[in-house]
Amino acid sequence: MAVSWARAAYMRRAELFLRLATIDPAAARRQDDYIERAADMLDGVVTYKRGSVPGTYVCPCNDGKHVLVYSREGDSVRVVSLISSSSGWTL
Amino acid sequence: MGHLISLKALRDIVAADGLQNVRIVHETAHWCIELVMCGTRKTLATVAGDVRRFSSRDIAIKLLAKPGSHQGSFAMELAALVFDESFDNLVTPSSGNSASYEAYVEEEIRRSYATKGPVLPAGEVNGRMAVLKASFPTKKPG
Repeated sequence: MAVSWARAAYMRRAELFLRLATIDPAAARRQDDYIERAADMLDGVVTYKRGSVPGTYVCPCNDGKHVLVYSREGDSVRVVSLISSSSGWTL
Repeated sequence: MGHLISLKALRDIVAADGLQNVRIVHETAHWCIELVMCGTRKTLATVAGDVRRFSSRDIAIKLLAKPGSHQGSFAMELAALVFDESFDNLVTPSSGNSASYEAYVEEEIRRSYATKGPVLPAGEVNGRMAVLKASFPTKKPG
């Protein structure tokens, strides 16, 4: 099983890192490590809650602020989006 | 099996130990307890698996004992064990508007899933991020 990232999701991840890294690089690294770990762990048997769109699943990152949206296609996992969690979301 | 306590009771336990606030947020399939201490929000723990051997107070103490630690994921068992409030009552997005949040999530998922762009292997993405991380100092500027 292999994990891949949609370009848009990767760009979002980089954007999140850069936004925080200009203020606190260490915190940005920690945040990205959580995201990386969560995505890498999708390369297993665990299936998380189904997303609102058929074929998608949502996996919380342990930073408490972001949620990975992914799909399973055959033996591969594709991270399609990285979105704010409810606790990290503001209007 | 521990006993059920209300969210208020858990707040009281946490407050008695000197913390100012406790927030319960719903992270998709998981529960996460966040404690606000001295104005700094720290996720004290996310605990997966069997927490049934702990009493509710033990859980609170365990969280306090490990500030900043991450122990996996705080799964639904904890909610069933600790809280006697309904799921909806526990969902408290920071905006206070869970309906809007759900709409935001659905729109984001729909839009991103529909986009059939190129994909990159996780190893390559992680490598690029490692390069990005290395370009920043290890400490706060200034």
